[in-house]
Amino acid sequence: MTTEHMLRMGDGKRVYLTKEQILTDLRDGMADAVDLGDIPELSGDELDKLMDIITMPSRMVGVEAGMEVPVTHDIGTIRLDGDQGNSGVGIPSSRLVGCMVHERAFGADTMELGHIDYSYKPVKPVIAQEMQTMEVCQQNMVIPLLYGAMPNMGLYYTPDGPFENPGDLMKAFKIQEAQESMEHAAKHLTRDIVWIMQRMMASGADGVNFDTIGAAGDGDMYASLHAIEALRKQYPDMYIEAGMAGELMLGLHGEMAYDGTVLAGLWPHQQAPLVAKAGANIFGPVVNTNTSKSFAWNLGRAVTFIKAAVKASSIPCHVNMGMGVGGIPMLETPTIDAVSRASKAMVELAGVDGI
Amino acid sequence: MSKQEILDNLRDAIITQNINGTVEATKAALAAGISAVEAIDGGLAMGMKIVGDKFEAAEIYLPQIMMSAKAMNAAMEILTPELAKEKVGEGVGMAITYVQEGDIHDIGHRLVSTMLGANGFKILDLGVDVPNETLVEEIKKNKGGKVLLVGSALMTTSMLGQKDTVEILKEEGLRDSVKIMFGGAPVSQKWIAEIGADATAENAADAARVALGLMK
Repeated sequence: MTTEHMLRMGDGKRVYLTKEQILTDLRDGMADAVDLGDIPELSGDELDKLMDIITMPSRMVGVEAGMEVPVTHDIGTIRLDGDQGNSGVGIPSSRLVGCMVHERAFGADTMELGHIDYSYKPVKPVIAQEMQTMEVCQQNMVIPLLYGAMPNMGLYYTPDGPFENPGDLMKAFKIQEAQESMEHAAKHLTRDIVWIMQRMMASGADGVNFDTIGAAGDGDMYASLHAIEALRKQYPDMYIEAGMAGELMLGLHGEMAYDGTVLAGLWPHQQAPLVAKAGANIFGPVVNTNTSKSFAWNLGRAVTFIKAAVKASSIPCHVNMGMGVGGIPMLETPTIDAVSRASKAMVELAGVDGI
Repeated sequence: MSKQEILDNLRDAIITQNINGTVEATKAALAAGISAVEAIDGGLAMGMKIVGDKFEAAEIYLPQIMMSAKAMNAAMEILTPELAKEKVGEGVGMAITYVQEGDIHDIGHRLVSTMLGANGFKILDLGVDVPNETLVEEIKKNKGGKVLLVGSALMTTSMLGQKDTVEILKEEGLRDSVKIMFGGAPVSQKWIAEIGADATAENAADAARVALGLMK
């Protein structure tokens, strides 16, 4: 009887596949990335290594000695005091306690302070509270503590914000008006991020984390790159981490460009040079998980994309690894078998500098 | 100008998002004796297919595909009365489009509605977060006609509701009165087969092609 190995589907369900089936899925996932991104294939040796990682009998795996990388933590302390609805485990704790637990118990190499709403715009009315929290955390911690949130340009459109919703405008075929609305929103988003970070830097923050750049499309990335540029000018030594929302920059505007490059349609290896050009220290590439495909398919695809991004990037790459990204199944609490295998593959095969 | 050149003009006007040009090319096609069906199949629909392929390949983006759809709509305004004259029965049919209960993500839904409308469907857009009871009501109202149910779900959680939709239509004795298409990020061909729906599609342009195929 053929040996079958336990792995996951992209939605977390357990499946049992033979080595032949796993290899087929690895190749198909890789081929999808190669086709979409016009990037090199993985070598036969690399596919063999991926196969080894997937079929290791241990419940969880780790990187080989000497290949350890820094781990950075976004979402701040919400992981602890949040509930299952927002990726937390529901332990009542202050944000100071949360930050210190990450530093002293979880082995975080850098940490991020974030607000429960976790977008830049809602931070404006509570900026004084955020400044105070940052200061107290900095007084109690050694590791770099960044301030972070999502650019989340969607909050600038009706009904949440002042600008007409491009989705509504496009539906009425008011394409130019939709594009103008995105351009206006982007200016305000850039301004807000810079305003918030000026205050957080005054409170002792070591830097900023842009979490899920491009979640609202190319305008979101446009605004973020300009905010990075402005912050770098003002704070030459500031630590700026730029993490993406998805593998493909969605062209909701379609014509926005940074440094002469149209943002719509960019894949991770094309996003990396722009993020570096804007002035970020760290690029956080993302590959999304397909919930209908196996872990092997998703991992083959993710490693192929991320390897190309690492190669193209002039700054360190800390790949986004979590629910529904980096080959990991889409679950609020992703399974350790998949998380540890995907992480090992990203370090040892894609060559990421951190996670 | 040859017939093929006229059809090529129609196709190219769609590809270049030339709304006024599409109107002119449509009028020119009719003046040259080309039927409305031919103008759609041999010119406009081919243009939309190319636009769909370009969108899929990330060569053009949402605003451009919307402009092409607008050009297509402009042509359809001229061609719809002609289609009626050409006696193609009740036309392509009615598409009831909606986003599944519990889900408010409607970009894909809007695009698909636009593309189906541009391809000759009469659209009844029920919007987002639509309960199954509403769907049953609307299908009952239109029983006996050519009806296509087009449901969208972005999330796995709302996708599960599609199974309930098919079940409730069976219970109400309405399953055979409609063709059912479901789409959205988590929807796969396997899921469609599992729940007993009729079809899915990769993107909005593909949805129009699949929908037309279903209604033949």
